[in-house]
Amino acid sequence: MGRDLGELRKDLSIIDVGKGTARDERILKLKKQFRRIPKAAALIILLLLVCAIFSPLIAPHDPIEQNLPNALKPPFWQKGGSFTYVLGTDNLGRDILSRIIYGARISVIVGFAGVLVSGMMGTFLGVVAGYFGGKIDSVIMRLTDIMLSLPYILIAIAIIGAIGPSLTNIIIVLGITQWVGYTRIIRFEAMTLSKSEFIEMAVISGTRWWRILLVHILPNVLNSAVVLGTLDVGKMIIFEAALSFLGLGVKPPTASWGGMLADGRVYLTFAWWLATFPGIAIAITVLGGNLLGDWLRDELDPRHQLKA
Amino acid sequence: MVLNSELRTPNSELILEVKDLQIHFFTDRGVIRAVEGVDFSVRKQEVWGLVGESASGKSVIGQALIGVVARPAGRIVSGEIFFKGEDILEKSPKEIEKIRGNQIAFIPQDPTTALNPLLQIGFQIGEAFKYHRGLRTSSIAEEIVKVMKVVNIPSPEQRVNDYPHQLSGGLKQRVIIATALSCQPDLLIADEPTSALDVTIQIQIIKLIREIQDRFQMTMILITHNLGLVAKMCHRVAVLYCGRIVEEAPVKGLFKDPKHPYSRGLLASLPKGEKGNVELYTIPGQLPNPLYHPPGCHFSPRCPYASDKCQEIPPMEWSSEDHRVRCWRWKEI
Amino acid sequence: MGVLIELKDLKKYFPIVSGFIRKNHVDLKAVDGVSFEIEEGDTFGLVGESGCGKTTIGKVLLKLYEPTSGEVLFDGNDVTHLQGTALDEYRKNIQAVFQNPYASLNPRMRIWKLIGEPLMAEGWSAEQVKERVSELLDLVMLPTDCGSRFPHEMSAGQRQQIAIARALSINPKFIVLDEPTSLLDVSAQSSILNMVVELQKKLELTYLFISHNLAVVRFLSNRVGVMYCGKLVELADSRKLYLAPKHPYSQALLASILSPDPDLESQEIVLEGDVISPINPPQGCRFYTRCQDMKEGCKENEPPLLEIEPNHFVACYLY
Repeated sequence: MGRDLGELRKDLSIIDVGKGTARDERILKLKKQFRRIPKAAALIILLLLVCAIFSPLIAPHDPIEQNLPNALKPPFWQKGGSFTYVLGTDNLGRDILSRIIYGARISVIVGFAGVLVSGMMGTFLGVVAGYFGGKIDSVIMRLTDIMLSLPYILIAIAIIGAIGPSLTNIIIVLGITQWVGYTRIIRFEAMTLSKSEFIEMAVISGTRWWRILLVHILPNVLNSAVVLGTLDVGKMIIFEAALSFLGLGVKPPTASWGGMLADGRVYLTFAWWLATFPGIAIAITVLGGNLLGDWLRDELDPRHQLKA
Repeated sequence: MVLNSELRTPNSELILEVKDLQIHFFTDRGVIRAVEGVDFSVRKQEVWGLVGESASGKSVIGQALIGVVARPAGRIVSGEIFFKGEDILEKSPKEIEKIRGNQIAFIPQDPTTALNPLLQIGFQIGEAFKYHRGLRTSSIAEEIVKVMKVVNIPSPEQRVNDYPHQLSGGLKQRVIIATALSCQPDLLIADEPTSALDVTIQIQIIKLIREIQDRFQMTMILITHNLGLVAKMCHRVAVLYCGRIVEEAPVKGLFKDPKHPYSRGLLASLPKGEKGNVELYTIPGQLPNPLYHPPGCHFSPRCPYASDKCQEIPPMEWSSEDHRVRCWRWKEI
Repeated sequence: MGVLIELKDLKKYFPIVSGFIRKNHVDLKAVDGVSFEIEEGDTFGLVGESGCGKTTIGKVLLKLYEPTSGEVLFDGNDVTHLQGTALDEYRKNIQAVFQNPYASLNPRMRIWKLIGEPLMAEGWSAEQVKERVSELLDLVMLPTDCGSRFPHEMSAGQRQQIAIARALSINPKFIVLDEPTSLLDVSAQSSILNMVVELQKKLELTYLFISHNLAVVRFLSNRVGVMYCGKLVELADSRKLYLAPKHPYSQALLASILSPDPDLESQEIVLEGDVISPINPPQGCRFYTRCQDMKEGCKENEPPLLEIEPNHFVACYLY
């Protein structure tokens, strides 16, 4: 005869995970995920962050020091160029490379802060609209419709015209205009979640609405919000560039990629390097952000579980 | 037709022979051995049942028979499937497409997701006709109505132009059955054909399937977890546990005298009787993680009769002429 | 042992507005005048097919829906419309276990937080909750260390055990069980059913057991109500109903039980047609379109629910 049934029952009420415990499995999973990160995109973002944080250490020259005798020197591979100014100088003799490295700061700040402000606003409004529905939802939706119909440039001009151009003000403008993208998507997710059984269970358990929003709904929409945010970083950088280009951005002589584009525009035909290199910097950064965002979205998609 | 009438003794010629089928799924977290050495054969005009719980591999076997095992994760690692004497695993995708829908038909579990919500049902039923028979649209219309009548869809001429959302669950399942029957297949595979339906509709569909099987002398494989359904519909049944067949017998034989501890456990744990002090039998423990099947007999950790020998995979043994078991100790228990 | 729950002519309608320009207002009469009582300590089984309203009744009792009309009494008190603190108090007495083990647990919360949620809503501290959660895990035969895990690490059967533990955490008197085992394998089903029965005895619970699986309902219930299209068509003690169902629909339902016995000659009742939708139901008896014993009066007027034997009610003109 085999084992005692009662003993068997006790033994086997444990979760059978076979070899290794649940914790080991989680570590293994993380390691595998790490291997799948798109290297190029991560590298780009890493480079951006390094430039932004360590600019004084990396940049060969002072980005705002003017040096008129050395104005409009071409990059090192052209005639007249040298390794002192690797990518050449601008019309005021400032080193392009250093300005690009310092410009990364602006881009990083605007990118992340802009995403944070607009993301938080948009997610909050989306969650509220999705969970409560009814009149609150209608009001928020009408608000988003209004925001979408107004071009952000006009609002930027209006606001910055009133309070003056500065980094903080740019972030405010971006926050006010860009939250809409989050709200629509998060609202939909929140609506679907609100109908799911575990929310019903929370209500039955007596949990109050604010706790349901905080503990149940928010964590489950965070995935989508993060993905949207990552994809938006590139957008923010382009917007900053556009605003600076229009003279609504950071004040000179602070180096910003958009500002450099604006300044370099007039010299395009004969000193192309003033505008081209900042342009390339913008393009590469946006590409990196988008690639990372795409990867993140695929990673967090629950349908992507079974892969060969 | 009374549901429990004597099932006609089927012809003993084999239409399907499966030998040592192994299907594995290769995932990030390891290899899932969904089907681990399955052998069985189905005779012509027989209704053969495959019973198992989740992760037993029953649906995967059904998918393998019509060639839709999910790639690239799923792979038929080894084995042979002889349909009418030919190994369909050796055939090219084109040849398989000619067989699928035409000679081997499939009824999936959920009629709602199996139908395209944007196409009229007449069109969807007719697709098989178009592809396999190459008939022109004009002659197809007649055939479509004919097959709708076979499955008892009321007013078929009007309903041909309906869309799936206009139909109830029972009607949708009839449309699926009509689609499966349209080319008069030799073998019909039904994967949980009634689980998504209400119980009174279930009875209707069961009656319909039995009438059809009787009328067209079709061979049928019924894949399900519902033992009651098997008792009503099948001639023979095989019990699947974690990718292996553990017992196979004629229906009466299995229900009256189950030999494998798992089959016994399953039958004993079905709710019966009324509220009283009766406690249902529970098979101890739970289904193992599909990534880590226990060594030897997969059921041994949960088996009240397990011994050391069970660390080795028990072979299939015949306990009588038509009843086989995969257990070291079937004689003693 | 008195009556714990009483429903009096409960109605729940859902308005459906269709049409773009000219709005068409129609009511989905999910529950259309249902009355019954549940005695304390009993298990009341509510059976029917999809769309009959059984789940809606459960949700009304749980205060997830507000009744359109009618009364709900709990322990003699009128709880039909509650708000604020009265509602919070009521919620402590009645909890639920739902069908889907995957959807009823927040995938991002640890198990101890999930089980302890009703307690945290009450204001218990984390330590108190964790202590109580250990007790509860023991009660539902789960290992006490699994509190720090996440739901996806547990099997479907274990998740239902977690759901049961959560339902028990604040010591309710009454639990609504809505198809708790329909999505489980046979092996998990039997252990959950045993547990449910045992807990009822141990903790003196009253159950409303909603299911379409008649064999399971028979195993668990003292008293059974059969619903069709928003109405109660038969109400009787479980044994009486299963031995001799009176209403043609109950008879068809019972005949559709697939018992795992190949020799059993079951009576064949195959209903024609489909389950009626509760939007614009027919005028007379709702079942007449599928009834094989239909008579003259069935089309015009709805048959009332009458007591034909002590404690056995049927809504049919045949009696």
